[in-house]
Amino acid sequence: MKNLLGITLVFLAFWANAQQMEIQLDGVAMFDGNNFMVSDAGSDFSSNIECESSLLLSINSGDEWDERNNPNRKWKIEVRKEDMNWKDAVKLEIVRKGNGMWQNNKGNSGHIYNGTNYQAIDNTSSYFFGGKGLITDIPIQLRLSGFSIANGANDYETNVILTIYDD
Amino acid sequence: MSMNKGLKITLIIVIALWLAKPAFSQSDNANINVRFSVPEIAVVDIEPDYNNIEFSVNASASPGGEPVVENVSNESVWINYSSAIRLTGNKRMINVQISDNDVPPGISFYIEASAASGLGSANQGISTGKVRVTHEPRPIITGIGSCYTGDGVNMGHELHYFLEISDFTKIESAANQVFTVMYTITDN
Repeated sequence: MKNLLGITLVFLAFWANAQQMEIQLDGVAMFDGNNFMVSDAGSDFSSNIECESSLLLSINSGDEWDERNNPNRKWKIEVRKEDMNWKDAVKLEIVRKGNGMWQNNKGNSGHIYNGTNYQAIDNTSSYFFGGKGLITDIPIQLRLSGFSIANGANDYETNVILTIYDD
Repeated sequence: MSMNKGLKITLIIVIALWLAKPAFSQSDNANINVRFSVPEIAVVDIEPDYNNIEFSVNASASPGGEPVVENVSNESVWINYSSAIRLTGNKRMINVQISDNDVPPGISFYIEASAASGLGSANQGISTGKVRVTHEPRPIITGIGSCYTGDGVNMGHELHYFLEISDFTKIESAANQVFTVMYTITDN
């Protein structure tokens, strides 16, 4: 009987651990069309063009029990892109611009780390940043780099995919 | 003995669950759609901004000799351009023509663009050589792809101007004659 109880407790612990962390994104990526104009003949676009809109990322729990009993669960976020229409010469980069708000708000911002330097987004998934607990409104920013008028007139489209994993 | 057996079973289950932990691990995605367009661009400019090319036509120092034509402007003149075309689009060219007033009778006016300076990007245009300039647009630079030359003097193509006496019998004495040259970047 004791053994059965033990097994049940262990299973519950793992089951709790297996509850899904959720990642939520607010905002859309918009680049100002004026960045793709040249004011003086002979000049090029600015080599780095930042997304003008703000993007806020939130880490939520998919389960109330987990949220209450596992508040410091560690996670990591990976990033990749899936191109619909893109040119290799154009690099898309991403950065974390802030720490967001810890949902168990105690003024502590030490629950999020890495991702504060621009990194290129490739078509294969790579580590972006990590943290623990539930955090809302983490500001992230996208940037185009190596952009040039020499790439020609074109329509560009890609999907940036952020994936959260248990760490 | 039964306690030991029960403990063993428990341990086996715990280890099995621990090993199975990765299978329990979950993930979730958020997507950002990134979409923008770079329009076709075609802009051309002459550097320095406000320049006049000045020639003087003077009588020969020796009796019976041809008049002497001299370019008295010392300033170097450059043409800059930026161009973005679609992958399937035609390359561009720069045409030159006289847009205002006329070249005096008996005189021909020519322009030659140098090769691109080497600054800026690849896919800059190619000079067509010395071109007689009239009211009809004529290409002086062709084969312009998606590129930029750099902005300012010593960037792009240097422009050389020539005034030549083509028919001495038509030359008339006149005060200063002013005419304007216009450059247009256009699809081939």
